[in-house]
Amino acid sequence: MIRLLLLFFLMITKLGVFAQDVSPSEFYFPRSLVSVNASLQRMDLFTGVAYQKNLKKIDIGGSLAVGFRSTFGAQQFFPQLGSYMTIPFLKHCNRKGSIVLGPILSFHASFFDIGDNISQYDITAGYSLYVGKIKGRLQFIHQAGIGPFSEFFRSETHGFVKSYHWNYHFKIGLAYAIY
Amino acid sequence: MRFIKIVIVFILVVSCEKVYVDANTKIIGHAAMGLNSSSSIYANNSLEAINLALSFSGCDGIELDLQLDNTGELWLYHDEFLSSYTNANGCINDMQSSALSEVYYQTIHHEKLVKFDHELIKILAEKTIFLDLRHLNPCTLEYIDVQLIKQALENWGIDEKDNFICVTNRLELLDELSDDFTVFFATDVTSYGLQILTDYPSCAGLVIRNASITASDVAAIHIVGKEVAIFEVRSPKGTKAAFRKSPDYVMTDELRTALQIAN
Repeated sequence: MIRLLLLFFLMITKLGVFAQDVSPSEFYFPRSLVSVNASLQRMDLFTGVAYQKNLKKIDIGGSLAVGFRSTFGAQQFFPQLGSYMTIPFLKHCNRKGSIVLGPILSFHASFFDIGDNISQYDITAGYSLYVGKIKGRLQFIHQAGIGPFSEFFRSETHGFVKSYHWNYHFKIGLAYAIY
Repeated sequence: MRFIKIVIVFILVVSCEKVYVDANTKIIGHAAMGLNSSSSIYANNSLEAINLALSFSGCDGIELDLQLDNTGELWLYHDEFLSSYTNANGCINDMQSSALSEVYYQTIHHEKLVKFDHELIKILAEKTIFLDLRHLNPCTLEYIDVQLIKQALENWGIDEKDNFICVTNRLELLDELSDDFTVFFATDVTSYGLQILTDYPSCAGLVIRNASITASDVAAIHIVGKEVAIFEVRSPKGTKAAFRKSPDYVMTDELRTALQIAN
């Protein structure tokens, strides 16, 4: 999986270098994005909102979501807080639209109560993409990643319980762009 | 905009619907943390999954799949062939204990195949444990001798422990075990199950698929003084449906979901 991701980013880098019409200015790219999104993960389908601030070299963002299955299916509030950092390797635009693509590193913390208060944390690495019309207000966003996952809780019978695994994210959403 | 409002109101209404969970209904983790569940973290029937499932305060017990090896020892494994999930080939029934002790699941954690022994029984002591007894050798398609299965269970004193419930869908095994052990009969047809409960008075209850039983069927089984365990419970909708039937046990493949609904 990691090899595939590396190969993917090598391809992206090449695309960036040989692109014919790379934007000469940051003017065409949004300064920030406010999005609604859905993210498929190991534990649930999380739906929520995110805010992304696009700086010169990196973009940073924060998100707030709830596990759809747990919150609406099982009536148990399952919030997730997240933050992420992405490097826009490829920034490309032409008359039709713009695309921004790059690696993303994200951190998530989720909490829920099933008699024991459970906390889950993950750090994932992957790619981030947003596309839209040039200077368009609406942008389509997509992020995907994979990384280590941990779960902690204090059990009445087993004391402090911790378990580790891998988590994945596959997020799509719609963003409102601010220029 | 109107559509969005309708969707939001719908979600709010749906999310307010709380299911009544009978206090007598016990939550059982199918194969410990569930079969083919992305949230289970560990391989089904593994020691890690057993420990995790039993550490949840709301979990009343687990279901485990038992298979007999050719030296008379019992092992925890769900599938027919070892090659499905482990580094070994063949069937447990044809292998020796020494070879099986080297077998591990081909997962990230490489959990070892678990032997049913004294150490495991100690871990299982406090909760309700369903033992699904596999009685067919999938490699040879021959039935396992019921006396061998009975002997293996007696070796570990399962007949003297109240928290262990044996499960079978083989009448010969039910007949052999039900006088000494607590035995549930597994079936997909409620009417057939009721007939079995009549024909075999020492059979303690039925294990039946969620889709195959109604609340009135559960009530009918309770009237004759027997218990019901419902399995194939996974989605929030299916789990709520199972709880509404007020069975004695809900065997879930998504333990966290069942605990969320019950909490």
